[in-house]
Amino acid sequence: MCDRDPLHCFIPPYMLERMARSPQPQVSARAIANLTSSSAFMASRLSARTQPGLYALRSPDGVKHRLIHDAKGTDDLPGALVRSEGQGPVGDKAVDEAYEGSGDVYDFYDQLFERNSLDDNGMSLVSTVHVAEVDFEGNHVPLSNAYWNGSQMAYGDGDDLVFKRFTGSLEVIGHELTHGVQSFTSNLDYRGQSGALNEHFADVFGMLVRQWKQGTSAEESDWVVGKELLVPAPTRRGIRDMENPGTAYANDPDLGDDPQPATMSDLYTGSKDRGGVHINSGIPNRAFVLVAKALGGNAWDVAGRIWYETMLQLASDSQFADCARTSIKVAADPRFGAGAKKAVQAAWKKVGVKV
Amino acid sequence: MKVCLVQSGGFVGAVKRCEMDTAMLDRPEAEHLKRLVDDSGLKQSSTRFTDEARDLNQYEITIEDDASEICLTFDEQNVPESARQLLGFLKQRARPGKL
Repeated sequence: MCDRDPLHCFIPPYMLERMARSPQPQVSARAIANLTSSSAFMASRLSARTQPGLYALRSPDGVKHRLIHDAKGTDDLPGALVRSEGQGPVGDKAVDEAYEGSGDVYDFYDQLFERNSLDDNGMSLVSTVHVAEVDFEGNHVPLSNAYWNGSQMAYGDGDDLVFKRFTGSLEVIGHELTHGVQSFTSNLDYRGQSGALNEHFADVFGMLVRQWKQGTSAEESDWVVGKELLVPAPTRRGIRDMENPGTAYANDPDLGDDPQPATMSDLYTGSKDRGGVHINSGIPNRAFVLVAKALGGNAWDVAGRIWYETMLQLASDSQFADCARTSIKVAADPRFGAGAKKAVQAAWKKVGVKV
Repeated sequence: MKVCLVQSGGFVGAVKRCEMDTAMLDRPEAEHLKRLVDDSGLKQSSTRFTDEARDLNQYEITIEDDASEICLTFDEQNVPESARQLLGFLKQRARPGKL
C-alpha cells in the first residue's frame, strides 16, 4: 500500500477493490480510503483540465498579486507562505527571485499585451521554491527541475553538480508562467506537435521577458535558454539554443547531446517526452528567431506580438502547419508593417514547415 | 531478465537511459535487481500522466523476461509507489543516451 501519498498511488483499482474486502481491518480501511481519494482526485484532475478557471486564486484587488511559498525541501505544494505581494525581500535567494521574476512576467504581459495575469482576470501568481523529490530510499533530495502543475509554479534548487537554482533564470520563470497563460487560452494538448508548440510558446515568451527586462535586441541576444541553471562546463552552453537547435550541449558527461532538431526533416516521431514536446519545439523556436532577426529591433515589439496573437488563436490540437498558417495570417495585418508577412513565410519555409 | 529505463522531458528535456540484463551482472547485483522488480509488483503495461501539468520528467520502464514484456510510462507525479525503489536504482545508473 502507499504510505506517503495515496493520491499518487499506482495500485490498480481492481487490486484496491479486492484489498477493500480483506479480512484484515487495516488493509481494508487503507484500500477503502485510497479508492475514495483516488475517485475524488480523478474528478479534480478532470475539472482542472477542462475548467482551469476553477483553480485560479483570484487576486484581492484584481491586479498583480504574488504569493511565494516554501516547500522546505519536501514535495508538498504549496508549502508555507513566506512572501506576499508588497512585502520586502526576505533574504532567501530563491524566494526573492521567484517574487521578482513573477512580477517581471506579470509586468511584461500587462504592459505589452494588456493581459491581467495568466487568466487575464487578475489571477494570483503562486510559486513554491525549495521543492524536492523523493529518492528510492524515501529521502527528499533537491529537485533538478521546474514545472507548472496546472495551478502554480514549482522550482527545485538543483543538485549543485549539474544544475543550480531554477529560479536563477528569468526565462525559466517566464516559461513556466507562459504554460499558465496557455492553460487559459489555446491550451495546446501536451503531446506530439501540439505539445511541442506549447513548449515553443513557453520558450519564446520566457526569452522575451528576459530581453524586455534587459533591453536586449533580437540581434544582440544569444537566444540560449537557461544559461544560469547550469554549473559551467566546456560541454554545455545552456538548456536549449533557440537560434541553433541541437547545439546547446554536446558530448556532455551528464546531459549527452542536445536532441533538438532544427528542421522538419529531423522531426522526432517516437513516444519519449510525450512525443517530443521538448525536442521538436526546436523547429518552431528557430522559425521565431528567424522572424525576429529578419524584422530587427526588439523581438517583443513586432515578432512577439505576432506570436502572442497566434498563440491566442490556435486550437488545442493545432499542429506546426496550423501555427505557421495562423502566424502568416496574423502577420499580414498592416499594423505589423510591409515585410512582416514575408518574413514569417520565409522562416517557416526555412525550417521545412509547409503551409 | 532485461530491465530498461528511459528518462525524458522535464524542463531540461535531456534523455537518460539505463539498460540492465541480469545475465550480464554479477550474482548479488542480479539478485538485487530481480528482488526490486518482484517487490515492485509491476505485472502489466500502463501509462499515467498528469494531463494539466507541464515540464514533468517522464519515465519509461520496460521489464522483459522469458515469459513476457511489460512497459510502464509515467511522469514524476505518478511514480508507482511500489516501484519507487526500482526507479531509484535505475536512475542512479542512468547515463546520457539517445532517443
